[in-house]
Amino acid sequence: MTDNTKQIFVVPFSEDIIRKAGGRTLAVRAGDPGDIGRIAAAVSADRLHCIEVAADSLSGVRLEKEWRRLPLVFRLKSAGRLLDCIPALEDLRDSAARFYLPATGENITAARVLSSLMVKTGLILDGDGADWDAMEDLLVYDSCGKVAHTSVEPFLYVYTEYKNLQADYNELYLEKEGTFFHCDESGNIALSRAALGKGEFIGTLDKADTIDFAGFSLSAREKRRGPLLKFEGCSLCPAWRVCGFKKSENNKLCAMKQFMTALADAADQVNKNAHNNI
Amino acid sequence: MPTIIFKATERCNANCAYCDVVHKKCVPDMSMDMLRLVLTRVDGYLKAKPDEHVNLTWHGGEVLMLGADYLNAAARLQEECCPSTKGRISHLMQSNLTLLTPELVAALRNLGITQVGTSYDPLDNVRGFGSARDSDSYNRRFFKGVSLLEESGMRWGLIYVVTKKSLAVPGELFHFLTNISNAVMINPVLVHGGNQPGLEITAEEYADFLGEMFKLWWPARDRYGMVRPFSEYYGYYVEKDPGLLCTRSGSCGHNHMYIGPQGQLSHCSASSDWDLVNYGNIEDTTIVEVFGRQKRKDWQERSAVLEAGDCKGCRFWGICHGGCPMDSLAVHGDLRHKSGWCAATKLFLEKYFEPITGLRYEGGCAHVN
Repeated sequence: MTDNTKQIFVVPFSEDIIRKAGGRTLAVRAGDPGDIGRIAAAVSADRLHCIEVAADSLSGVRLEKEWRRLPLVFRLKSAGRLLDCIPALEDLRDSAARFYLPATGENITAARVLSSLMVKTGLILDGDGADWDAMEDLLVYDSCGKVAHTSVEPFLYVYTEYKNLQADYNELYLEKEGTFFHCDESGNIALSRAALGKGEFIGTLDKADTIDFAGFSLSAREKRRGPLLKFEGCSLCPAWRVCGFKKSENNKLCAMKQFMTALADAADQVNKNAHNNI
Repeated sequence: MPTIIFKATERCNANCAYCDVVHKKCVPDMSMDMLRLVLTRVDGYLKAKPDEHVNLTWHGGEVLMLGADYLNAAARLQEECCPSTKGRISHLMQSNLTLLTPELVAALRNLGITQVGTSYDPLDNVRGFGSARDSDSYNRRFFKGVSLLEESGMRWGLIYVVTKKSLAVPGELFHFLTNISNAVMINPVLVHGGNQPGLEITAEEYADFLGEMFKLWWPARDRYGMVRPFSEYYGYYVEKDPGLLCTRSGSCGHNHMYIGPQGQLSHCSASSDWDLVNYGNIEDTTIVEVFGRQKRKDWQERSAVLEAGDCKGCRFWGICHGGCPMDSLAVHGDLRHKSGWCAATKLFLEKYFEPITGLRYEGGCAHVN
């Protein structure tokens, strides 16, 4: 989990933006995988939170050997044809890169296969359109499976962090408000990717020293507690601590409560097994 | 380690339904001269007892109503009055957190405070501001305070007081409380003098309420951090861990005292709020003398009296010790009787804790009276 007092700036790759960011910690969005090497050269390892790369599918990804230890986060639209990944498989599984997919049924199946192939994967749970039944099945495999595999995010995050009530797996997607600040090519700063898209700016990078980031961090912490002001809905959910949604409205229609409750239970079991060396 | 419950103020900005202090006619806040005297007395105690530490627990009323200037002045006075003993003084605090500001956070740090105890109730009109007991604004300010505390790197723990209103929703309350805090204590409402109409619960009701919560806690207990009394009982059953709450420890006679805003001395917050114990005034005595008084010997002998009397043969003696002495004093006028809440302890352990866990308390006690 990221340090609550630390700000991380999510920026597009440009020499100008990286210069304006000064010594701040950065998550750099690569427009093209070819930018990866240049980003790693421009941002020192102690300042680099991750390099986020958008790509259509895994089958198009080729990792250079010198990128092996870089904190790479790929956001894919789909896994693609897994057979096409075979030539690059050794590089994929040997690298620190993690490949995120939208949580559709097809991608959830692909995540399971990739996990079994020791490729680090993750599923993006940022909307209620996920296939929750398929997610539950994957959770069973991930938490209880005896066959060697890499744990799928955000399961691994939850297993590790769920006892901390401030944990929020949305930070895997660079979306924990108050911690991640999103910037555009002009250096405008917003509180989230969505706010950036809407032009809801809080300031600019070149004047970042005048922005009260601690105040935004505090406001974000208060905002995450918003549903707790009512004794109903999300505030009473047994899965509150692991859920990345926490919206109190429409809780009776909550599609993810069953899955999130299972996720919390799985975290208990994983930790119990680890404690008992199972 | 002596615990001094220290009330520098009885003023409060809230109007919680179960509070005794709210119904009292408040005395003025502790003056700086009195504060200096208290700290001088603490210094004297620690010099006389070179192996001891003192927990100075700020209580109220609402402590934060004293303001940052007062608390900073207290820190300066401690430097002045306790130069060689300040390292053996730990400041603790109970606060409703609704008045917390960055300046007050800094003042708390000045006193070495890194965690705060607080209370909360999500049910309407139990805790709130003003005669109408406005919960909405209270709750918002509470969570603002909690957020500021956390953002400042400080920790907090939560006391939940079970009232009549709580009894219908044990499961919901369990999830709510563990969703807001990893350190929860669930206590029964203590009613004295009829100040809390409609809130009182019986020992059986409290035991059953705990039992319903326990059914949720036990299967996932590692997830929730500290939930008392469950964690406490479990620790005691499994490891004979002597971390019992003061009301169950049987040892508060050795190590508790209370100092009020005007220097008035008593045993603890409850004994002062209920006017049950009077040890005089700190102006006329020292802390060493207070702990050495004959009256205190009654406290220290209580365990022997109970073991031979009310609690004779009780399987749970080692985990309960006859409950809070204040309950005996309030009902019977002496310390020779067990608390009425003992029935709740026994019922909870026999009906819920032991059947669900498969553990059985075989007696014995790691604690030495």
